[in-house]
Amino acid sequence: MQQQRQIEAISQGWAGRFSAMASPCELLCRSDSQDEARRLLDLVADEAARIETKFSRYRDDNVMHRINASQGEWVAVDEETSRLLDYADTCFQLSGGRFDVTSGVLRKAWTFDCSDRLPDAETVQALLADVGWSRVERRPGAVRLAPGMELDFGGIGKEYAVDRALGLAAAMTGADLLVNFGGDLAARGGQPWQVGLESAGANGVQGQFSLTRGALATSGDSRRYLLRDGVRYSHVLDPTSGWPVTGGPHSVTVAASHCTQAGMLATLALLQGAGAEDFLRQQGVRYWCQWE
Amino acid sequence: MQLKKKPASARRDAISVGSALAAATCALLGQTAGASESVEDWTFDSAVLYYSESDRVTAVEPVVRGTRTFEDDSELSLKLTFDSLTGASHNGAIVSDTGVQTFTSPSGSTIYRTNPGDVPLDDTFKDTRSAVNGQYTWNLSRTWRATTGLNYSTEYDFTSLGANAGLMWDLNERNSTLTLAFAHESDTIDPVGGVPTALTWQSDRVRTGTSSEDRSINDFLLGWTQVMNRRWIMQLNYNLSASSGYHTDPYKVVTLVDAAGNPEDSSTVGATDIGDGDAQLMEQRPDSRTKHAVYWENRYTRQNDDVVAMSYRFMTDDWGINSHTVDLRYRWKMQNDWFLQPHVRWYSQSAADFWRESITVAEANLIQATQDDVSADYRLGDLTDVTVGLKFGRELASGSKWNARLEFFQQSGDTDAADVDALIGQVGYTFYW
Repeated sequence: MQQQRQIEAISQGWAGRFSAMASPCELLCRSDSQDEARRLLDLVADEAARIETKFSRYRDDNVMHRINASQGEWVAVDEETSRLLDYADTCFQLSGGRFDVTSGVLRKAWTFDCSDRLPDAETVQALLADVGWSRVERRPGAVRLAPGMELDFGGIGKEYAVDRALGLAAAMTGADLLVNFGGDLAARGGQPWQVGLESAGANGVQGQFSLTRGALATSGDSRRYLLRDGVRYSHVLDPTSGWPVTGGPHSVTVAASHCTQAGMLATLALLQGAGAEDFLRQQGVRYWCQWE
Repeated sequence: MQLKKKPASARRDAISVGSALAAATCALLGQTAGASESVEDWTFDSAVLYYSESDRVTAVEPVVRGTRTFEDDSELSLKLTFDSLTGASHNGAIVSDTGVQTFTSPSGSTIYRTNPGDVPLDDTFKDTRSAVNGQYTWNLSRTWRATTGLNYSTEYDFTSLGANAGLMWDLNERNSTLTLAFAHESDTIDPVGGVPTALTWQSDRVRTGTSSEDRSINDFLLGWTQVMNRRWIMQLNYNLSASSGYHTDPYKVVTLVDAAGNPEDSSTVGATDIGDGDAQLMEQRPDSRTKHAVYWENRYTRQNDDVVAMSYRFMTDDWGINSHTVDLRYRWKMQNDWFLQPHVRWYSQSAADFWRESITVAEANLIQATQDDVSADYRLGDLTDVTVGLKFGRELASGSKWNARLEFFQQSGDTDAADVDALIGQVGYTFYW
């Protein structure tokens, strides 16, 4: 799955572009050398492809497939997968069960196409039987899911890939770097990078943010929702009820030292619904909420 | 509904979520140490400043500043400065076209003379200063930041200890920032040869008997920074500075002159005779000073990334000094990360109410009787100065930067002593550690 990789000169160095994880991806680097920029682009794009290949749930040749098709058997997992499972566990605990990597099966009932087609309560209820991180068994180097359950790293993978890619590139060069996978980004620089924050509506840029080191991640999507009887159902599903969160912001952007952390804070904030901003305020992080 | 867990743990103190998540993220990214380490790197700015007045003071000042940004976005900055001054400085006396003047050195150990036409300079002027500053800035909430710092500076006759604290409030979608800051400084002045009794004759070497004097300064700052649009940032500051204590320069004198403007001998006033033109009165300044200053800066980034910065400062104080400063810079981005930055600065001030170029016997008698203030220090007189310079540098691919600056400074005032030309050079280098 070799993507198209393009590199072009920008005012302060080079911009490399490719696509991965269903998103436009970008590497900016303030280097004098195009060769170096090309090497860094390959490193970053290869890492994105590696993570996508390894953890995509749409493939049948990876660890995710082996876990999801295991029919109640123990499945051996490598060290990186173990670390992601540990992380998922921490997020489950911290969120009181509202961030759950087993909640992906709920999407069988929910299609967020901006229509008013809500699933019936029985369908959702039936699917909830297959949701529940607390029923996932683990032992060192292995994991076991009950039949019918599935894992989905969709809520972590892209941000994790951003942090990994930046880490690899940063170890190769001293140049200023910015890695941006579909709006989730992380930077390492001496000079700040100017990052535009896109508005959810049609009115373009919401603001500008100067990022020297650290990361930004956005959760929420203004184009994926259901609208019925004046209630907007976001595509963020609360696994404790099986229903979407309502009354919250359309999207949340958070700045933190790592993209993985920023993305999780944004997701946890969305899960708070109307309490999103209170939650973020208590975290003492920089954030931007789109309520519209 | 068997899985509808009570979100009991979600109600746990939300503040712990962020730090627990940070720890979990580090564990997850354990193998990509590069990314996590880069957040807590030190950045060092180093520079050496060279300042040389023609025939007077030469200063060499190395500065190193280290800045570290932590995981929680807080920042610690430490700065070390060393100053080495050599040369001679004006002692306050007039530049006489006709008469020789005679002075004692601050320590009293030597007597020196100034020939007609020369600026009276005390050439025992030699000093080293070291200073250390620490400043810590952290987030209180999403829109409030706090900062606090300490600074200490010492030289052979002067010690200063200061502390500051400030609050910054981002509002209006972070397009505006209000700053409120307070600083206190405590100075101890320990003059060479003891504290001279003000308004006595230099040749008599009258000392107060105390070995040191104190001064304290309180500074208050109210600032407003506004992003006007994507390219234009404006800043407006108001600064109130109130100091009390010893403001007199223990090494400066005021020359006693006759009706023709020639230096008088101390015999005229019955003081100790040490030579021609030796009637020099030790100066005295008020024991308090209140300054108000307004600073306005505009910074505009052009389409081609060039930056224009323009600032104006107005200062007025209760000594009667009003000053205006206009500063203009243009940062010109060139090929291969080079930049070139021309700089022009213009400064003008009016004289303090108690400034005199020299005094007559009648004036001296009146000043001594009323214990009035008087100083002939050209830095308190009418002054106009212009600085023209050029800075250039390059940002290297590694992220480190270097720059060099060369400036010419020309000052003129009411007296010949105020006419100073200086050359300023600086080399700076920024790197990561």
